[in-house]
Amino acid sequence: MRDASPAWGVVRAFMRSRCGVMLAEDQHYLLDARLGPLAREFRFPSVEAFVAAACGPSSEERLRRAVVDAMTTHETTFFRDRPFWKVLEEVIIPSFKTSGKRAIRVWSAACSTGQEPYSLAMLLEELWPAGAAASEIIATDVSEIALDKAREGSFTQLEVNRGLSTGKLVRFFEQNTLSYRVKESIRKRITFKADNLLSPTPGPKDCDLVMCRNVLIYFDENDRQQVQRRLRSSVITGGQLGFGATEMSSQGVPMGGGWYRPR
Amino acid sequence: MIALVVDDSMALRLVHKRMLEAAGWEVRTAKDGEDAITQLDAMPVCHLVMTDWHMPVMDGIELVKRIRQHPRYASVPVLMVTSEAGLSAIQEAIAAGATEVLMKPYTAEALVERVEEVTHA
Repeated sequence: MRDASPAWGVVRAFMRSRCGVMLAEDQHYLLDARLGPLAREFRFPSVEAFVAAACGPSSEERLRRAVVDAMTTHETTFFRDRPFWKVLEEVIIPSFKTSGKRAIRVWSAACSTGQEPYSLAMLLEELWPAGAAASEIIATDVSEIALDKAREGSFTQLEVNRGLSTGKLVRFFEQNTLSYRVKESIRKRITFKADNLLSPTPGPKDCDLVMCRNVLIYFDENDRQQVQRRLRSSVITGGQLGFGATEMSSQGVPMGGGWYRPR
Repeated sequence: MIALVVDDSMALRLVHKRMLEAAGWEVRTAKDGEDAITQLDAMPVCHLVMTDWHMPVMDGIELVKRIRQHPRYASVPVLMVTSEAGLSAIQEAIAAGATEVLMKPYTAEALVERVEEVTHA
């Protein structure tokens, strides 16, 4: 294993400024593990040469995107963290139905390859079909490569085996040769777009629900506070914020399962 | 919680037994559907049947049909694990009475998640 090199410092600074992700100095093994394959793919003679080309001030956007994609974590599953979805299923969605709402607007922030917004779209369709058809789900991520996969909505057998019940698989997916694709009727309910959580511009406005899970752990405290303020400003009065199971929020009153009502 | 693992492959019986035991289950095993029915008749309690599809003597589809008519175990959750891939195969297993279907290959995490789901553990 190599020692920390100047190239690792360049990558850390790039990721910090590009998307706020904090990489530790002692994670320098990621240089070869994550960027080595990219250096070969883009035909650079070394990882250092690739980093210089991809993370410099005048680098090509496609190289910058490849670095962001390689250095961010895409681990996600359908219906990840059962308590989160249980509260949504048993408390939050029923409350929308009884409140007389006709539709909701949701922001799924840092959606990675789309399992979270697709899970929500399926659950809404099962529990509240009339509301689901009129509702809007905006799903964002900093990685364009992850978003391309999310938009496609195709998942491998290993991916659909994680978290997705047989009933939902049969109802909401169509089978291709080697994959399962979310049906058009569900795909069209989600708008995928690129977003940097640290962007100075506001996120989607007037959302009933904002979900941002298992990503704040990668930010330092200042950036975490900034992201939480930005997420909170997207929630309408009476709306809710959903975080990961291990991510405590000081931004609201806990409702269980990682859900908070903003103060 | 007691589970009955049904598979004609001794290796897979052992693998699945160990996966479930690691998740806190007490596990019995059977080598085919007929053996499973014999064991169920003798078991005082069973909370889960996890069965392969393709087996000699009595396959998983016939087993689940028989379980659904069993005097004591008609409502026991049945998780069918299979190398049959595809939505039509899943529908066939569900129509026969399986609670859930898990397609091979799968990870140990996926198996335990699905077991928890069908047993509401």
